[in-house]
Amino acid sequence: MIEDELREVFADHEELAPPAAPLAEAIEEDYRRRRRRRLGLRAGAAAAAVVAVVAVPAVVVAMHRPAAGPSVAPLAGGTASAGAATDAPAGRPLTLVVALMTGGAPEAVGIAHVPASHDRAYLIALTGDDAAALGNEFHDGKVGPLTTALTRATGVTPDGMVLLTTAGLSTVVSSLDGIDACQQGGGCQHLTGESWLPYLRTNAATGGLASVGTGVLKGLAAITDPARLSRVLDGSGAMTLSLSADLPSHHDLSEALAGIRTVAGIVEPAGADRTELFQDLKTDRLDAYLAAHPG
Amino acid sequence: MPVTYEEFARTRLPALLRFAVMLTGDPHTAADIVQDTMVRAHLKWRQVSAAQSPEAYVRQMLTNAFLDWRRGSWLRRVVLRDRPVEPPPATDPAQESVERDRIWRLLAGLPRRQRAVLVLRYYEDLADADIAELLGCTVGTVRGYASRALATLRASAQSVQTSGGFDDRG
Repeated sequence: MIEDELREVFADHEELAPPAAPLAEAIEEDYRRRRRRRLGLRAGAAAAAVVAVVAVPAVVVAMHRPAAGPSVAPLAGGTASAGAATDAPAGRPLTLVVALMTGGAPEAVGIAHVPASHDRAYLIALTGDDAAALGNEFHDGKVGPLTTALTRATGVTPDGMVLLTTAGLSTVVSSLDGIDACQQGGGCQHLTGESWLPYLRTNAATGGLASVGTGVLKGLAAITDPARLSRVLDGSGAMTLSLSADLPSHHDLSEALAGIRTVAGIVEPAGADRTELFQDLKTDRLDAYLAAHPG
Repeated sequence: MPVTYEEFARTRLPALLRFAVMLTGDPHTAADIVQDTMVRAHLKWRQVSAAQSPEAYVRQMLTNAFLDWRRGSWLRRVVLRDRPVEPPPATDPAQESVERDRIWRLLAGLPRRQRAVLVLRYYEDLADADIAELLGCTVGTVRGYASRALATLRASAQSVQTSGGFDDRG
């Protein structure tokens, strides 16, 4: 009987349900934001108060859908083309916290930023005190404390969060037949599904997350077959949580991400440049910052 | 005494997530829809808690969110995904398990209302009259959806038996 089989099919797939605890945190955060907005306690300019984070000694650039010339200089990573680019819709900036998890604890934390131009993205690897502080906050798996700590440390108000496991990213790297991780002045290194994590750990202080992240994005951008791209990404097991009520709509957000042509990896600096970058991020001028700090 | 939102979320969120997975077939989309639904429920909790069954109320909100969900939602775009996640490969080599996995994939191809009816009927064990109320249609319409969905699944099963195998490409 097909009806009996259906009951068994549904029961068999209950295990696909994601864990409730992180989602409960995101729901609470989203609720608080929407409620504040309803009560008029949130400044209207909050939608523009997007990024902020950290500065940059080294810049690693990977190209995603190269098109109209980016103001950031392509470095050792070279370029990779993907399918036909569409005109990038301008809009509000977008900031996502990216947490790479190992066994429930963060292996690395970064920030992905899409500026208002919506034609590029920046992946910022947190490497110093910020990374340690955020890691400690996130150790219990709660999203709220992590985002609060991020805002306190950097002024960044994230719109969402992407959770990735090291196992999931290993699957992606293997599916890509490896990636090239590049660091300015350090050349490129080909990494496999087994070797990327040791590389990231060895280079944590110098932005291993940015190198690996841009390598992965470059590999994904080189895939022209949508079905294969989908299969590769299905292996990532990524979980994405929306934290912001300022987003006009999910659809607008998807439009913003669809227009991205260039991805730049940025490593958090230890010096005074941090403040400058912080300001440039808040004013959505990361391209100018990178032009002024080419490495 | 009306249940508080916090109590409701603490006790019912896992079940709502499972329900959303059955509707969407995709844990990522399920999480997105549940988040959106729960935030909206929280914002109007006074109204939700005054309902005869807050759980039924939220389940209706969730079902409607699924039916209205736009393709290409931001969640999929964030992970650059353009189609729902396939379930993990069956670890049980038995034919029975393979057959269930195949039915799960076939469910993904059904129209959303048909899939919703099957989930509400065979996962949530709701009566057709309750499903009709939830979907805002007649009992006859519910039975029509169920009938067409089951016919599709049966036809596919018959096709597999005839051909002696299952085409796993789709």
